[in-house]
Amino acid sequence: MSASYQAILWNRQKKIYDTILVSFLLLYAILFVSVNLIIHPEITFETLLIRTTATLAFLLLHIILMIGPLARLHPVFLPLLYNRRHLGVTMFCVAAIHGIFSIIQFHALGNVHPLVSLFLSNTHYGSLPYFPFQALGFLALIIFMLMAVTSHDFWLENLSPKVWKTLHMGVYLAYALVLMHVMLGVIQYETSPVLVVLLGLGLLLLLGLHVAASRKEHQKDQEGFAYNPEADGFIRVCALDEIAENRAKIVSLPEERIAIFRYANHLSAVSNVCKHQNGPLGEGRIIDGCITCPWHGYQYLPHNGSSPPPFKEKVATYDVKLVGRTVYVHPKAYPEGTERPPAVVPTNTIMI
Amino acid sequence: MRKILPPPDEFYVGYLPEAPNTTATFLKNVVIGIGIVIAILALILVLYQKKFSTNHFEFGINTTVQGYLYTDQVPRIRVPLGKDFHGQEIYQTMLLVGFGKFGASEAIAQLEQSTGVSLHGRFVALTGSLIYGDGKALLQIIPQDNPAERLLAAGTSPMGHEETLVLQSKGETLLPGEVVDSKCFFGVMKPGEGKPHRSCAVRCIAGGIPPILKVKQANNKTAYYLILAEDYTMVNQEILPIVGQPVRLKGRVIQMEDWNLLLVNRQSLLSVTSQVNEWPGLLALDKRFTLCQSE
Repeated sequence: MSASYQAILWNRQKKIYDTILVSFLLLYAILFVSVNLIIHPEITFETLLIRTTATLAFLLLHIILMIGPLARLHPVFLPLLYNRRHLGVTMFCVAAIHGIFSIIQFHALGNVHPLVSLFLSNTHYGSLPYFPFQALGFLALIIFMLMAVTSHDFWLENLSPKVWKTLHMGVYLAYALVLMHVMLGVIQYETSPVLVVLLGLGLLLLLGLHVAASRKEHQKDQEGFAYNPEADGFIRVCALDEIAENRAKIVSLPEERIAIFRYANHLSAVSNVCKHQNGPLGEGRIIDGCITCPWHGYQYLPHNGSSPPPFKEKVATYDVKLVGRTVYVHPKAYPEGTERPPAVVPTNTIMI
Repeated sequence: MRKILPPPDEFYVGYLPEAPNTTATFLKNVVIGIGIVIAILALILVLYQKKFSTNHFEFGINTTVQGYLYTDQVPRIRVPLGKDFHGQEIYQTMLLVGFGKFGASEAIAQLEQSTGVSLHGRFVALTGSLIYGDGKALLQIIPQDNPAERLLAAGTSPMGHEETLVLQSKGETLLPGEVVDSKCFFGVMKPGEGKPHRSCAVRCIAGGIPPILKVKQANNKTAYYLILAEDYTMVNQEILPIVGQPVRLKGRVIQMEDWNLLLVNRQSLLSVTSQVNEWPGLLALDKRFTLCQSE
């Protein structure tokens, strides 16, 4: 969280994350280059650079795409999500080296502009086996570039979280483009099935994780909740004892999710969607009196959905009531940041 | 899975200095695991690459060769190597190419302008970067490396050398192979063939670099055919649509000392390549040229 924009708000965890990231980059690059030079001394510098950056960027892309579903499957992976944008920007930089150098290598110093050559040297757009695969890689690189340059919170704020999130979902399109770039390019030249098997395993791993995470989310949405509004519009949510202290119960309504937090003998309800990157606030905790998002630690006061000053993020709030030991919520959202009186939990209520 | 993963009770906040203990311990193991996987993948990707050719480009190294420079057909220099057992002069023909993705015609034109003489058939000392492999050689030349006085210092052309150039017809044939650009294939790029290199080969051939038909033979050796039209002129523009893919070319083979020429019919080539442009996946076959999607 920040009240003003800085290039990077460094903290200890980010430094650890980036140190490990750089170590992995170096480990891979050193191994790939040195073993290549030993086994294939005939390889040219240009090919070595193009292949090292290509394989490294594709590997990083797989890791990036695995983190989201892993974090949804188990919160222990959330630290990998915390600084994922550094991983994304790094991946773009590596991919950009590959892309720019490939354009120079294959298209520069010719009789037409390199970008014209990129799209028009091979015009077999109607053929799958002869398809100009380099154009696919270029389009993927443009998507990665848009994601990298808008990765800062400045763009998140100015584009709006919805637009920003939609833009960054383009990573899946980019992945598909890169996959086809590889399949219709170097795979058609290489003869070993191992490379195709690796590509297939990567794809299966990503599909498997996304399906598993999606199923888990769906199951959570279906868990023990019936949407039956009472006469006053309130909906029965759960027994009070089902909400642990400083934690929340998430209610999935047809069009939105509401997080009902229990804290200091109070119950408050806010939108489950964090204003930062749409993180699930209901999976967060109350820390220092604030709802804390599990993704990046953005905080909101539970009774008004506003971030504590000087921060300005706000989420919608809802009315909550406690009848006996049963928690009810009203599905009507109040404008973001609207203060709503919390439901008071009687002090003689015993936690089980 | 549940036995491996820690209980989901801990709560991680990135900007706090310490990660919860169990989470930190688990992630350390994850990081070690990722490191091992990365190392293994790097090795697999290197080990299972296709081997690279031993062709070589002497980038940044200039070599001077002396021989007869020809500007007709394909720009080349015919370098006398000495006499054979029968006392016949033997030559090696080195194709000439320009800097970048260009043929040597422009460079030769500039050399003729600077020397003020026609260089065709003249004995010259030509300086450039050697490109060679599999018994073939090319020379990349740039005018700046060839001042007029040094270029012509080798002497005047001995009379009658052109009569020693024997063109031997080997008949018509249909050859399966791949059209590559000679400069990249013989050492500038690795790989200088196949799908990954296709666009570059198109650019090079469009720029005037001589196209070669590379034919894999039954004995696992490779034969190379310099592709020209039947009138010995270049067909670089016409051949572009079929560069870098499996192809069969029909034509008359002529042996020109250490090079084989494949003389193809320009009109038939145009006919087939226009079909390639229209719908390359469904090629109609031509009597003189046929294209295959795979060999």
